[in-house]
Amino acid sequence: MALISEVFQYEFMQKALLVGVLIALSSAVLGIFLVLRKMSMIGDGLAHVSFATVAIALLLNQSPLFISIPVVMVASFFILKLNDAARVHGDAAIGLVSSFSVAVGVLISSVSTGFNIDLFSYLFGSILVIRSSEVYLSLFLAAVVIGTVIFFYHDLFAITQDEAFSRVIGIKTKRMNYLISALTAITISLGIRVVGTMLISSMIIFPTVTALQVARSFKETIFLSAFVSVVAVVLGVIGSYVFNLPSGATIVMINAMLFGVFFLIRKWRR
Amino acid sequence: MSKLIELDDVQINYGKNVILEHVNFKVCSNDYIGVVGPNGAGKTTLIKALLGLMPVTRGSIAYEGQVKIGYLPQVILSNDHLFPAKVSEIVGIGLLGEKRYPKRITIGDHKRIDEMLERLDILSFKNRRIGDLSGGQQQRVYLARALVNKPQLLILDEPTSALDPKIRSDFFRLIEEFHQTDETAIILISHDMHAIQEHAKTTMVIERNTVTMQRNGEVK
Repeated sequence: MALISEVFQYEFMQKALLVGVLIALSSAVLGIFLVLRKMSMIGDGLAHVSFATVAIALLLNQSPLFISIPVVMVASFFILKLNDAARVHGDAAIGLVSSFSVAVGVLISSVSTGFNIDLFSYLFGSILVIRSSEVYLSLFLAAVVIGTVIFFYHDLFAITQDEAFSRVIGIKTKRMNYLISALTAITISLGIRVVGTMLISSMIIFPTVTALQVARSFKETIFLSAFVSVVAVVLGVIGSYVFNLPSGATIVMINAMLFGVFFLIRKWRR
Repeated sequence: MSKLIELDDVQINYGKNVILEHVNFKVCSNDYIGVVGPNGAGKTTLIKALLGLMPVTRGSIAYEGQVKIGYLPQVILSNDHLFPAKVSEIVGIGLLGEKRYPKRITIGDHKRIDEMLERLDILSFKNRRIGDLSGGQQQRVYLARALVNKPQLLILDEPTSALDPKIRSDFFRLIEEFHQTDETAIILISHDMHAIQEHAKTTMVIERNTVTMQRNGEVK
């Protein structure tokens, strides 16, 4: 217990928890639109792109967040364009972009020296070195993601439910698809510090799939998903400090346990 | 009887393939048009062009002002039992087309949704998850979504293909009721020739890349 109260006294832990909760909320409000539209893997693909951006940022001695956001956003648009214009199926487009990005990241890290340990912390998440500038930027970006989802909620819900009907009633579905991609890119970039590039897509998928087990409406799914996501991050960050584990993997394990609990609740209800 | 839509020498291609050509017809406020034709003849393509989901290669589709169109698609993509939306949430989508940002579903909108659900005899399902309903009940929900905005024209693409005969005839009776009482023009694509001959005033036959219109009774 003393160990847990000690957690909140350290500035790096306060930063990790704050940034973690912001990522949890951003990924949860976005997750439902990606999961139900069978676009979950775009998060995974973009996470691989963020791996390349981390390698580039470390090479240039810059903060990965500043490099990741524009590059991952461009990659997300590129995936959509490949899908539209080059007649490449969505999953193949994601596969192309993500494998190319990992190759770029590996090549950069193999020709450079001295930052491989840093790169490992970005792969699986680390709570030790979150800069104040990253906290402020995370606050701003999380506000942008959550605010945008609230503002366009009804349109996003409509295209998730039935894209063709949404076009008929005048919703700019293409614009909404780009919006979802841009918000996903921001959320992925936000998450690479605490959760890591290899595991950030789980933040988008797990809470939504967990909430779907028991939620009875679309809005309820979003609120429940946000709750599950925040609980997983808080317990995961604290657990990673207490047991000296990588934060990303610990958060994913908590998410997996919560999914198991909600799955059993659903079975029990029947 | 006012004109809603007029097609003038419309041609629609998929790449280099001509799907439809020399298509000329008008849709007026009291029309009930049944669309028939073999699979792949271009029925859904024509509907997509009318809805603005597909560009025409040649000719024009002219709308008389802002024609409100309701649409009941052939396949509802989210029609799986995991989709976590309540019936009222889904019907509310039908009202979004007339809203400006920031879009909100108001108390007045909820009243309109309830009225439509009551009219279609599904008000008791209002708070149920769409995936928990039977095929026929779901079809009524999607009909409510198409009609809640009081469209001047309702387009239905094979709406009853997955329904059993009893539910199918109830469904066509409902459509007929909206056509009569609300003067909603109807375009109905269906393989159910019996229903088309019973309800539609005009039959549109699509075959060999073009469209011919016949008053009902002339179709053999």
